[in-house]
Amino acid sequence: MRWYERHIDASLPRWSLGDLSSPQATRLLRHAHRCQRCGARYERWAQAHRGLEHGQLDTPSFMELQALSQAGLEAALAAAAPEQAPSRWSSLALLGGALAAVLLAVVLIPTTTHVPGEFVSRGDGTPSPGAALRIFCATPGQPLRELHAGDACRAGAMLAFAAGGQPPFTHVAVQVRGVKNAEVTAGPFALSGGPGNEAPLELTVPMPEIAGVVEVIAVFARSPSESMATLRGEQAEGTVVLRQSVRVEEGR
Amino acid sequence: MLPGNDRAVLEAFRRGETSVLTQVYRTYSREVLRYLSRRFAVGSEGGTRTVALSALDLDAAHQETFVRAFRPNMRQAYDGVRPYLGFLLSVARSTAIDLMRASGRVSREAIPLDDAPELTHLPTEGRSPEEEALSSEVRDLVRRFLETLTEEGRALAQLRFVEGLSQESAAERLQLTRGEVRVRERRLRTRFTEHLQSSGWLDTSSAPGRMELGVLLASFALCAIGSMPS
Repeated sequence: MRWYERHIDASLPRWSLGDLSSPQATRLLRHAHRCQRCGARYERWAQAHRGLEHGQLDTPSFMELQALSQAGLEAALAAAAPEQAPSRWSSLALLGGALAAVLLAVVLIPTTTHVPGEFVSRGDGTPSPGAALRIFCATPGQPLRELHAGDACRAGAMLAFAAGGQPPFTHVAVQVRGVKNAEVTAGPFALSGGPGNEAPLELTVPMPEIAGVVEVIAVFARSPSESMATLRGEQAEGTVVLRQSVRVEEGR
Repeated sequence: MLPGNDRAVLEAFRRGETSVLTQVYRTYSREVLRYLSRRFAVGSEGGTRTVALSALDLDAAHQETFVRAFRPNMRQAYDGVRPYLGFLLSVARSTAIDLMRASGRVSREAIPLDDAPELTHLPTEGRSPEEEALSSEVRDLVRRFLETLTEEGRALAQLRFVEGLSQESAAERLQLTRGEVRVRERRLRTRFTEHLQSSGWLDTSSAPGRMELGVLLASFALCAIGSMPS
């Protein structure tokens, strides 16, 4: 397994004990659907637990019921959102309005995309850009340590993250790029607090096993799709992109 | 009989109030899961047979059932007179069949036997040989695990899993406190996960054909994300 691959192996024992939170159960199942290897593992795991609890495979185990029940609520509530009413405007008027809006946006609104050298939302006297990402290095046996520009984290340790954003930013997507074009993309995550009140993200990324530099990119946007589009390089307007490099130290 | 037992609750449900929808979801989620995990009898030109959703299909079908049922038009379609569970299970059944058709588990022409009572006289094939073989493998896996347990551990597994007793009842039968049963059960589950890992049960090649449903669920998830208010 390459360093940036994140599979469900570590979550399955917690699934068995009923220790997964609702977002964690959702993430596990989403990953299992996307990843053929993990999908097969999840099937085998679930079958074994069905066999243990019921002696046959057609009845879900208690923990399976619990995880599935926890995982589906978010999507169900999202589906309940009212559908957009069809516009009664003619398509020509709509097109004219859209063109005028684009023209106004170009003339009046400067892009908010910027790429500072380090996340600058915290600290005395620092002007807040409305979005902040904090990066932490988690090394076994040591306290969690926040990483600032130029700081290093040991090879094999884990990176953890916390993010905050003020309106209009509602979501953040994170990408970690390592050596040899390796990268992991996670999110979008909903922002629950502003800068200074950052909330932890459901994301940990293992550091590479070899020395080098890892780049963390965070895109703050007004919607989940905008944040992902900016990460893919398809859009940048109205988003905030933060980057920070983390040195990878050889493990001792 | 949520949400039809109270006019105010029904109105709030139709308006899509999150608290009521959450309550409805929590009330019926497990019922829907149990229903979806049954074997569905389907008929086609080749005869009739029973098909069950896999563990991952079960997640997809459960999620999609509530996604469909909570859409504004479906909320309005519920009359508040019939039990809501029946309404929900009819959505669940069509969702399950749609998923099995989409994944190729049943042919596109196959129809659920509930929709065609005239086909029920045809002989129905039960489990496939592959399913029988898998059942046998799992039974063997569990038997080998139970053999590693002490007498007390086996007794706990028997009461909690095979007989389905609650922790309180199991504690009474084993003359333990509920706390002791909880701790022992947790230990037992941990040992089972270790057994799964050490026995090589998880180290198997991926089953072909799973990805189609994976793609489906990913689409559902994307739709759900796309429809979230930003």
